[in-house]
Amino acid sequence: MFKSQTDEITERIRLQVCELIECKPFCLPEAHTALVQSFVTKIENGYNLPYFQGDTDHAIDLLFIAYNVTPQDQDEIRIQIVAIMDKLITAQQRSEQAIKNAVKVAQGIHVQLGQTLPAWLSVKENGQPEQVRAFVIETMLALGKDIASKAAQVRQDLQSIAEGYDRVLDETLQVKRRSEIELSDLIKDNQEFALERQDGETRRQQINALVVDMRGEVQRYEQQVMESKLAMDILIALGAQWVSTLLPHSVFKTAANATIIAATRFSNLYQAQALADARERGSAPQEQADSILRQHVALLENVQKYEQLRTVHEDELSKIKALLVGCCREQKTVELAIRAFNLSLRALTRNIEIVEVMEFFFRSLADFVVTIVAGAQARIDTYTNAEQGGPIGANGIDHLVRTTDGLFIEQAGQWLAVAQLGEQFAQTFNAAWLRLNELSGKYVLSSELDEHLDNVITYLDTLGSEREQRSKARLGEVQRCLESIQGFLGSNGPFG
Amino acid sequence: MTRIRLKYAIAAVASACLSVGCSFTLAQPVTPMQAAVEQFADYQRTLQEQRDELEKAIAARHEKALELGLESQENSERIQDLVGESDSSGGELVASVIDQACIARFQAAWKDMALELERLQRQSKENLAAVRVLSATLEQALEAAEQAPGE
Repeated sequence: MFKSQTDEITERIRLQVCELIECKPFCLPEAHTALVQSFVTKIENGYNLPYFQGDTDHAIDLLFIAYNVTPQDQDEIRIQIVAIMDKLITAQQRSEQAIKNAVKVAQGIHVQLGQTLPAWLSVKENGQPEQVRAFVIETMLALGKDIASKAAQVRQDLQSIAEGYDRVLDETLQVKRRSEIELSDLIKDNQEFALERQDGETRRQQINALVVDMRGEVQRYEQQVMESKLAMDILIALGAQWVSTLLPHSVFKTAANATIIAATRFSNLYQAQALADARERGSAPQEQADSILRQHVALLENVQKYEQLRTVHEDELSKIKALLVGCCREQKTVELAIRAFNLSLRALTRNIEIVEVMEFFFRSLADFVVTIVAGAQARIDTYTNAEQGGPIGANGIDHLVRTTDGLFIEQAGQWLAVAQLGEQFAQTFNAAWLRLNELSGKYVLSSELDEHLDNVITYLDTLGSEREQRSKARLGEVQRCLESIQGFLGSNGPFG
Repeated sequence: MTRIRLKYAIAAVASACLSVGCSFTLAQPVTPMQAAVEQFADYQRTLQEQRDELEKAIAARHEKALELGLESQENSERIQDLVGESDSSGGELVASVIDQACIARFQAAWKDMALELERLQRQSKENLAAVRVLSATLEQALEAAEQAPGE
C-alpha cells in the first residue's frame, strides 16, 4: 500500500520519544538528535527547502528581467515593476526579522525547559506522589501556559508574514492588469501578435477555470463527506491526504481553514491523531468507500489536466526565447516592445505563483506551531484534571510522570526543530533580499541591452528545462497516486 | 538639477555614515542612532523618488527622440521633393536643409542626453541599493544596542 510520509514520520517520532523517555540519565534532546530531525521533516511537510530557495531566486531574476526588457518609454510600467521589487525587499527583510524572532522565542523556551528539568528530576527521584502532584500543578501548568502563549505570538508573527506576501501579490496582479491594458494598445494594429496573445490568454483562462472547477469539486466532496459521516481516519485511509497534497495551492487559497480536505494537508495534529486511530478502528461500508474513492479519482483527473495545461503554458517560455533570438534583435521596433511586454507578463505571472507557494509554506509552519500549542494544551488538561481530582493512585502517578517526561522531550525536540528550520529560513530571506537589492541596484544601459538579452536567453533555457523536469516528476506522482486509488475501487479497498 | 540633487544625497549619506560611525565610537545614547535610522529611511525614500523621476525623464527623452526621428524623416522627404521640383524656391530648400542640420544636432544632443540620463539612473540605483544595506546594518546595530545588558 502507498504509505504516506506523514504516517512514517509520526510513527518514527512516537518511537523516538519513547526511546528518549527510557534513556538513563533522563535528559533533553540536543539539536543533532534524530528526534529533532524528524520534527524538522514534519514541519517541512514535504516542502523542499532548496526548491524554496530556487523559487525565490527565480522570482527575483524574473522581476529583474521583466524590468529590463520593458521598453524605456513605458515608464509607468517600469516604475510599477520597481515598486514591486521594493516591496518584495521589504517583505523579505520583515520575514527575516520575524523568523529571527521566532528562533529567539524557540531557543528561549528550550532554555526554560532546561532550567525546569533539574527540579523535575529531583521530584521524580523522591517519588512522593504529593510532591509530584504539587510540581505538576504549580510548575508544569505555569510552564505549559507560558509556552502556549509564546507559541501563539510566534504564530501571529508568521501569519503576518503571509499577509505581507498577500499584499505583494495584490500589487503584482494590479501591475499585470495595467500592463495588459498597455499591451492591448500596442498590439491593436498587429493581428498576428493579437492572436498569439489571445491564445495564451485562452490557456490562462482554461487553467483558471480548472482551478475554479476544482474548488467546486472540493466543495461537493466536503458535502458528501459530511453527509456520509465518515471519520477522518477513514478518509485518510481512502487517500484524502494524497489528493490534498497533489491539489494545486491555488485551490486552497480561499479554503485553507475551512475544508476537511485542506485539514488533511495543513493540520499535522489532525493527521497524527487520525492515523493513530485508524490502526485500531474498523472500516467504512464498501459503497461509501467506493463513492469517496470515485471523488478522489475525479479530483486527481482534474489535477492531471491542470498539470498538463500548465506544461503547455510554460512551453511559451521557449517560444519567447526563440523569438528573442530570431527576429527582434535587429528590428528594434514595436515588435521588440510587444515581445518584451509578453515576457514581462510571463515573469510577473510566475512571480504570483511563487509568492503563493511561499505563503503556503508559512501556513504550514504556522500550523505546526498550532500543533505544538495543542500538544501543550493536552498536557495542561491532564494537569488540570490532577488539580481538580482527589488523591492520585499509583497508576495515576505513573501516568503523570510519563506525561511530564513526554512533555519535556517533545517540547524540547519541537522547539529545537522550529529554531533550526527558522535559522535556515532566516538565512534564505537574508540572502534573497540582499540578492534582490543588488539586482535592483543595477541598470542595464541601452548600449548593453543586446548582451543582457543574450544572458536572458541562456537563463530562460535553464529555467525552462528545470521546470520541465519538475513538471514531469509531478505528473508522474499524480499518475502513481491515481493508479493506487483506482486499484482500491471495487476491491476491499485500502482496509483489506 | 538631478545631478545636483543626487550629489547632495550621496554627500548626505556619507555624512550620515560618519555620524553613525561617531555614535558607535563614542558609544552615545541610543536616541541619535534612532535618529540616524530615521535619516537613512528618508534618504531611501528620496532616492526612490529620484529613481522614479529619472525613469520618467528617460521615457520623455525617448518619446522626444522618436518625434525628432519622425520630423527628420518628413523634412528629408520635403528636401527630396523640393530638389525634384523645377519651379521650387531656392529659399525654401535652403531653409529645409538648415532645419535638417538643426534636427541632426538635436538628435545627437538627445542621444548624449540618453546616455547621461541612463548613467545617472544607474548611479541612483546603485546608491539606493547601498543605502538599503547600510540601513539594515544600522537597524541591526540599533537592535543589538537596545538588547545589550545594562543599556
